[in-house]
Amino acid sequence: MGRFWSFLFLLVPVLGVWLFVAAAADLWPFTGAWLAFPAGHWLPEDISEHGRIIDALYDFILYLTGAIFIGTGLTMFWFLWRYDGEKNCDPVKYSHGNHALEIIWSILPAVMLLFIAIYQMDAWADAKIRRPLESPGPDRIEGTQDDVYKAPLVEVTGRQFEWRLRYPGQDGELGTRDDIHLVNDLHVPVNEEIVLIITSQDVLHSFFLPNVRLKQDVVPGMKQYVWFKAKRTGTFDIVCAELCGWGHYKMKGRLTVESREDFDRWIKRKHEQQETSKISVEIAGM
Amino acid sequence: MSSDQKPPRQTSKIQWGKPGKWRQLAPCLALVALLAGCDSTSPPFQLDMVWVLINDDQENPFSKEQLRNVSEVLTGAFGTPDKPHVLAGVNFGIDDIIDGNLLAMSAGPVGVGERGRHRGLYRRHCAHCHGVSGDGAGPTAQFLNPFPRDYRMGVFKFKSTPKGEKPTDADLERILRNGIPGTAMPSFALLADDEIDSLVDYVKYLSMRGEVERNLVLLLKEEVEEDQLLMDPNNPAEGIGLFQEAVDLVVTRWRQAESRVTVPSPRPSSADPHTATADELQQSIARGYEIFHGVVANCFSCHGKTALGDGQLDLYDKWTEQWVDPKTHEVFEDRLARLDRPLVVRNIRPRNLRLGVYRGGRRPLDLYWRLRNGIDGAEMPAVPIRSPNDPPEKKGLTESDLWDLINYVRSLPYEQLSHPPYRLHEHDMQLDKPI
Repeated sequence: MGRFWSFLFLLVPVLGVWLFVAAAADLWPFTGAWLAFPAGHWLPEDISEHGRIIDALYDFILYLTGAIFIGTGLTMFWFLWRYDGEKNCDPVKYSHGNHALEIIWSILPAVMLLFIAIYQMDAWADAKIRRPLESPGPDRIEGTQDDVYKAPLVEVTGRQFEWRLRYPGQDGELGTRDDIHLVNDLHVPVNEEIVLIITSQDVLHSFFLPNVRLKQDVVPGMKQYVWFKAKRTGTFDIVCAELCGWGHYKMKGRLTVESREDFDRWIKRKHEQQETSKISVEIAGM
Repeated sequence: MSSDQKPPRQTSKIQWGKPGKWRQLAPCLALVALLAGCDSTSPPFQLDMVWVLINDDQENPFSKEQLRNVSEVLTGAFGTPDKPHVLAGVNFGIDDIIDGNLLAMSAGPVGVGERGRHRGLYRRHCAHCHGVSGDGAGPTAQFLNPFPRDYRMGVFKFKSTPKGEKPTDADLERILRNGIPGTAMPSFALLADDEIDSLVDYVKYLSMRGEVERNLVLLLKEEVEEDQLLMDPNNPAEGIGLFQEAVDLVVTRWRQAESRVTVPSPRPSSADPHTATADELQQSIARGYEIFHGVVANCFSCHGKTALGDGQLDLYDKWTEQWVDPKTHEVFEDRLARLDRPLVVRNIRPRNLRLGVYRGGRRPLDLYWRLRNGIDGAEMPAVPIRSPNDPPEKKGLTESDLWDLINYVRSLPYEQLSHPPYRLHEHDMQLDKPI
């Protein structure tokens, strides 16, 4: 019976690893065929400039934890096999309180965590702290008080269960009469550093653009800046990544990345539609 | 009590080998299976019992047979939530207004059909708030303020047509695409075009069905003898006649909606932000301020002198007036008791015009429709209009007054309340005094 349990527990690392390999390579059970889940369970296409750094970090941590996971699983299997009560006649050895072992398994993880903490610092700063600048200011030194930050392209407000958008209009300032109010349909120009203000109207949401590897919780009453640069045109998902209520799953928007000319044309048309006082324009715009 | 008197310890271990235990377990399993089964059966359309109660005669209440007969007539005419249909033919003409194929996409249980097309759209996107019958009392409705719309009264707030008329397809589509900011109605802008069309038709279907139901109950009360059925199998001609009457009223309105759209007057160039100079625009806004606080338009009496929506606060909308007497504020507990879910009686709030949140849309066109037509089902009236040919004693706003008022309303969110740019009249200075 002891052998049975050792093999059963061996299934944990084997199936665990297979799940990842199959998801990454679209193998069963992620083939989309009969008795299988749809394919494409691995990371979505990355269209952003900084996304590869995030993905590299993700891969690094996955490989590291994967190796530890496999090692732990195999060790457990070996112990179950080696010390099976029915087969093992060796005298009992007590290793509890072994000083050397305890030092090893305290220091090793600590070193790894410390390494990850330092290794990711630059990526974190790029994604969350170094807000894009318009110019470094009169002193021409970045990171000083007179830095001029790049103006946000749009303000995104999460609300149960939609994303309300406010473009600043021609004057470039939010909260003025020429603001353009839209919902769920975010357009941005390609190959430009895009800065967004994100906030929430009611509860916690998380503004998630999977294809540009950008995710940030939004908090009512708190304005935050996020930024990215998209490298190719197309339409992508905006989703909510924080359980915000029963309709969380349908809090979806659409990110359209387009050329600067298309974007300018689009925003102009949206402004005209918003300012219309005639029916004919409305029908043409729909 | 000495220790030797202790009763022998009972073993609580279930002895799985014995058949008796399985026999006890079997009913439990059957119950689980039954519950799971119940969940998958489709809910039926419910009769509006509150409307029945409102029209019921205390001494001679509707009999169960009479009400079942009404339900059967409705099922015959409109089908079930899973298999809805529309009555065709010149006599009824519902199929002119609703496309049966589009209707089928929204009807029935949630699922995925041919080529990955979503089915059961209404239950996927709408029913949890608006209810299977369109009664605005789905499972999530009670948590919302304002409550979701009950379509069955056939009244819609934000539309291009005057009060009492039906909305056009474009009106309903606009609400679906933009949502209603300031309420729990979200945007469905990313649904496919035909899915939006289908949901528009399904909402019209539920509304027509609900209104026909209300008409049938009224006719049952007024036209049918006590203890007689509305559709008596022995005398079908009379029943069909009554049904025709109930349908005609509704179909006519829906059919004429497109022709009832209010076409806005052209905006004078001096009141159009595209063409007016900054000075002209400022004057237009100042004129709008005067109109807002004038007695003809009377905006301030509800929206408040500061437009914060703090004027008259004790009114109710049409839907709430089913539960409360608007004059005495007496709540009809017996009617509330007929509902499946608890409902709070709330006053209708005039909008705070300084928030920049416009439920029916922020375009000048939308605001024009709100002012010119009022808001159906709510207390917002249509402004009185006078044309240049009218005698001077006729009270009302001219079309160009309307555009000035719209400019003023659109400027409010960007105006500092503590430093209003316009000279306040003496009567406006007493802001702390109640009206």
